[in-house]
Amino acid sequence: MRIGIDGRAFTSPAAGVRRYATHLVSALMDLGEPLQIVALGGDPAMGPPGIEHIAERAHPPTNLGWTLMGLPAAAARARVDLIHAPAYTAPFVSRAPVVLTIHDVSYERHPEWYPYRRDWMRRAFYRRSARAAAHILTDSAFSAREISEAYAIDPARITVAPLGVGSGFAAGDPDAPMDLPAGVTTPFVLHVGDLHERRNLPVVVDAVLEARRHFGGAAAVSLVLAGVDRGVGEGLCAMAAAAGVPEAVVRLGAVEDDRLQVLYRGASALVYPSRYEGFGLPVLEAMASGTPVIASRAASIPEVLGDCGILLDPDDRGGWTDAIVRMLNDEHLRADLHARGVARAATFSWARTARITYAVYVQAVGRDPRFNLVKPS
Amino acid sequence: MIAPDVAAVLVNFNAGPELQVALQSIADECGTRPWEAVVVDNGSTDASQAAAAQFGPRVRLIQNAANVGFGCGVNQGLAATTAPLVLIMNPDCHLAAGALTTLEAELLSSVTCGVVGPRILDPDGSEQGNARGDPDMLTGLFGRTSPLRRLLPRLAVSQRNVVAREADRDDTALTVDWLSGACLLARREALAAVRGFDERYFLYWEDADLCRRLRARGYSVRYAPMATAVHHVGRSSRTARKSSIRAFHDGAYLYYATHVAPGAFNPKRIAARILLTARCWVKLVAAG
Repeated sequence: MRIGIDGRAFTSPAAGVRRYATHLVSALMDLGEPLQIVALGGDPAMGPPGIEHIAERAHPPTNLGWTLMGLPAAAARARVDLIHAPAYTAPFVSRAPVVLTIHDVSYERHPEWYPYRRDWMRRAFYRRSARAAAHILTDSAFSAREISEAYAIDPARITVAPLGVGSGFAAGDPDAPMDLPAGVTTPFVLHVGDLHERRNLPVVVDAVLEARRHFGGAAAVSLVLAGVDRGVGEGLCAMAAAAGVPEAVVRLGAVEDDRLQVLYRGASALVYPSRYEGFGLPVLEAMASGTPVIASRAASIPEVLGDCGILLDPDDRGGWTDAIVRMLNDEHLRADLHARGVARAATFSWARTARITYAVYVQAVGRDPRFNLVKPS
Repeated sequence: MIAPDVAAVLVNFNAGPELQVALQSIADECGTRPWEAVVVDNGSTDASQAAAAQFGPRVRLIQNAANVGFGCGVNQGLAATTAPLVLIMNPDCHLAAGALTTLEAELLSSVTCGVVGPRILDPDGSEQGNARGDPDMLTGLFGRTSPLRRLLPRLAVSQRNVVAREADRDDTALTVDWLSGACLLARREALAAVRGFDERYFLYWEDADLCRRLRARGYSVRYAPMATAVHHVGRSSRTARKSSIRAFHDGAYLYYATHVAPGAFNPKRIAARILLTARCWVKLVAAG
């Protein structure tokens, strides 16, 4: 069975999409199933090593042109049995069946968070892609329900394949010296992910400022933000400056994986007040790193966190303050969440994601290449 | 189209009218749920193909020019289907009412359960003994249909090879070594993990071999006597009596050589070869 995967995903501007495509393809190749993966288009140097690459040929401009015309043409040249589009956009018409991964539909459910002039076009493109696909993969049961409602798609056409976490995210030696980035001082609470309105970050800035004001043990705590600023970063820093403690909020911008792993291990907690997620990969990465998690009881987050962290209402300001203070002062709680988080994270493997994904490929292609391997029929 | 969640695979050889009964029982059991079936025909010369055609596009026919054997035929059927649940059934077998639901509930009750089989009855209502212990040297003497077992059914060695009697008492499912390939409900992922049936077996013992390999991968094999199927024993094989006897003994040796005495010069293996050849010869003479 030959699977063509949209090679542009390996160089996507979205870090989550890059991570998904890269880890999924590696794990699929490690399954040991009769499966060949071909990267269709994109930069041949950027895909996982060892996969075949089909170069892009002339196609209409922009990503839209590539997806609608270039991708199916490349799939035909590569003679693949199926196209897997790993993030939102897929050809509407193609000879090979299409499996599409939709990571979340926040743009459909909360268009007010995406006030761009051309966003209606993106939404229409995503919607048509979803409706045309033979099968849809998504990262959580919550997203499956949301997709089904937003696009009026039969739930039987949607399969949940939870994401995994790479082995780099692990609880290290607690006594090892920590090479924290410049400007980061302990104790700190960490937020990972783009700084975006839906991430609801003012609530944790308030909570951190409040914790510094009223509780001695938390007097020096700061909030470290690892992620690209999508327009709310200035406002968050201004809140800290207005309170007279600009050092309480530290913006790092985009952070590479190896430095991110150090940040997780050094943080007193991951704070994740998001109002909407399709999965919530930072929650999983924090659990794998043994970092306690304080997160909002919203969207897919409870599905990922289970009972291995503190879940709060995203608007409960007092609750967030209390949780941060408690996490800084209660060593038993930290140790308990550390152990439970590590155990839970171990159940989220990319191998499982690949296994579920492979079963979807088999179903979409309509035949199962794992059988009938010995005698010719 | 909604993807089917049950795929039935039937390997057919001149079962004609019974094939139709078998497919009808599957259709009745599936009701309105999406299902698919593949009939792999090993070169039938009767009206089997027409019987399969009556069920419309849900039932597809794979026509083999020659008889490729049972396990290979099932694998062809598995390769041509995708549903996560697979019903492997002989064409001379049919499901009693409620059997599929009961088997499915048992299969899905534990993530490690790979395959489940029903109580299998003769058309006259007598038990065929579907819950079985792994075969060994004494299976030839005390096996399911041997005269010694019939004479001494309470002997431990007889009980070992057919454990159905124990299950009859309480009518609840139990874990067994292996089940007849006449009627099995399996998880596709479990079958795929062991790459389906071993195609070296032509007929007989491929079921024992499959269950053994499933167990080695950590899957359990469950007998669910609350579900019932009726099996016209050996109707498919009766049309070719002598080649069936040979296939039975070839399969028995292959199983023994693979699982019990893997070394090429293992004396037990050599003894098995001699004993099975002798037994085969006796059976062939008796068959005329």
